[in-house]
Amino acid sequence: MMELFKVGGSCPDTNYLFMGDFVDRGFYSVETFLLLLALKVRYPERMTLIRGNHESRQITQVYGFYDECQRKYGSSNVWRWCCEVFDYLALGAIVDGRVFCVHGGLSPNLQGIDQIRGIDRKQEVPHDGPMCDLLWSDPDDITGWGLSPRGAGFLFGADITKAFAHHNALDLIARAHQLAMEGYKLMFENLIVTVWSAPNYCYRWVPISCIPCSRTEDSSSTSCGNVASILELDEHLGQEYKVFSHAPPVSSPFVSYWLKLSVSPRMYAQYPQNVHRRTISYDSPWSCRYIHLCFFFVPIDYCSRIPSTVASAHHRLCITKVMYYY
Amino acid sequence: MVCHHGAGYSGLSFACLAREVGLLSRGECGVLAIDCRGHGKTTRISDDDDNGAEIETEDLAIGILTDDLVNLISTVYPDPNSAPSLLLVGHSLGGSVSVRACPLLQERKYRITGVGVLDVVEEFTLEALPMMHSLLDARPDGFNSPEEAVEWHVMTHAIRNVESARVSIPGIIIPNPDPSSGPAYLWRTPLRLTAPYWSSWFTGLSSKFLLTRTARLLVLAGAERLDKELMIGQMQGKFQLVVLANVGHMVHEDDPGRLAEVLVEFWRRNERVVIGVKKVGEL
Repeated sequence: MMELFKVGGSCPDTNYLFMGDFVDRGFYSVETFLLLLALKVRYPERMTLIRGNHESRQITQVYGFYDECQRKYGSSNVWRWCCEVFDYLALGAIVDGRVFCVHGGLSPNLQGIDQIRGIDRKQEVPHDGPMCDLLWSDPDDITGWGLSPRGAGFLFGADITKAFAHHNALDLIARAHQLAMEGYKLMFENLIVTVWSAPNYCYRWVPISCIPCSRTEDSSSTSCGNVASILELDEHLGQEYKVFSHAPPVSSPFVSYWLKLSVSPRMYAQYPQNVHRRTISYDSPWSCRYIHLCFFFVPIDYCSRIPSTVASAHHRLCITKVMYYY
Repeated sequence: MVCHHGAGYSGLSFACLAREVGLLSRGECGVLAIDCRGHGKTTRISDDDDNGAEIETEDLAIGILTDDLVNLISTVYPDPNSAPSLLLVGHSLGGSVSVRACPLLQERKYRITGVGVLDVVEEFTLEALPMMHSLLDARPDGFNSPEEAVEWHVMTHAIRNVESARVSIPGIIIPNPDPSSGPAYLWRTPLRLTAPYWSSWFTGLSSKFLLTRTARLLVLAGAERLDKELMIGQMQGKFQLVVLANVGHMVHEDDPGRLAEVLVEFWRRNERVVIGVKKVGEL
């Protein structure tokens, strides 16, 4: 993700819209999601997060996020709280009224974007229904609707897509959810695009009993060998696809990570005394929940890699709250 | 639901699963679990009395096993039009047979609701094949009683569900024709002799699975571990993946209740007709 920020420019200089699937299938789900949350809290108008099908209690218990939280924090609290935040994430977004963004795709139960606004989204992703479909569906070369091979959501064809775009006055539907080997895939006469931003998608399979203690050549992983992309929209909604490959691997991230995490939280209180407490007021419980997480649970070594404008604010917030607790 | 067992096992492996499926589907979904060639109670119709020779010359090539399944269905349901729609479920080797049988059955106009593959991933299985020999060496030559055989499977965690083991193990042992020469019960299928076929059983499984023109389900035990082909397929939404926790390789025996829920839900979802919604694989 840091590579992605290098390609697209750091937030807040660049506005970002992340289309979900922040967690699972990697070793750094916690850090990834909490960094995005920190950026959201710090620059709410410059960072938009919408929900993916992996932002779900059921899915994260199978695909790694739950296990990662257990491993890193010794309990399921962080996982539980993140899942509560997931419930608040919007299901879709619109850029300048013309580009509709959603994680999965369309639903046979939804013709208008206003109907999406009417969904009560503050719940676990259901097994079926319009909220589920938005996060699980895929475009496909069929006419009309088809049952999705995924076991949830639907397949929808060009005719459905054109009707939806016309009905809602859209130029483009941007979505994610499916691996695109070239980083992005346009379909239906460039009416819908799949944007895939995880290069060389690397599936790291780690059973919960295995605590990684050294960075050896990871034999328990399979790699797709794909490139990634981000879609850049300019002020006229002109599209540019920036393609990028995986970042060069960092040496021994595991060892350094675990050493730092083993530092007792009490030690943080001995950090420099020139910390000044800031009073931050937030007028919605939604933001407060974000703050709680950011304070307490972002591993301290991450601060050195966050762009400086965020780091200073974040670092101070982190220490303030920790001092309060300890 | 047509169930094909894995190498060395028998149709009785699916006994507990069949009961759960019957209960959950309220009798709407039946289960047909076969003993494939050289396994369980399936024997050759032959004038030859010498059963020993028969076992050793059994041809277990994947093509033969696939044809066996297709021919069996054609015999049980001679008329494809009046036959019920079929859900092919296969464990390990059985998964490979089911995947290959699906297009052949569809050619004969049978309606295949879906294919369910239980706990087999081509690349990892092929990688593990050299270790099979040492695994087989670690097995006893036989047992003195069916109870001892059940106990051995449960103690070694080959099967974690005692109830299922009690039902299924008698299907994989036979009385020793010469009790003085060794233990009272021998393995029904001497797996070592099937070694020449192992590689062909699983080669091409991932691509064939992804190409079947029906609903696809993959059930894995314990961890979401996919080879590159399946991973790309999964990330592109080509099949449904279910990972069951706390089960071993014998998924259908270890947790028949949970697997039955998955299979019945998969069957219901892909079986029912919804106006205006095409089924998976339908053009």
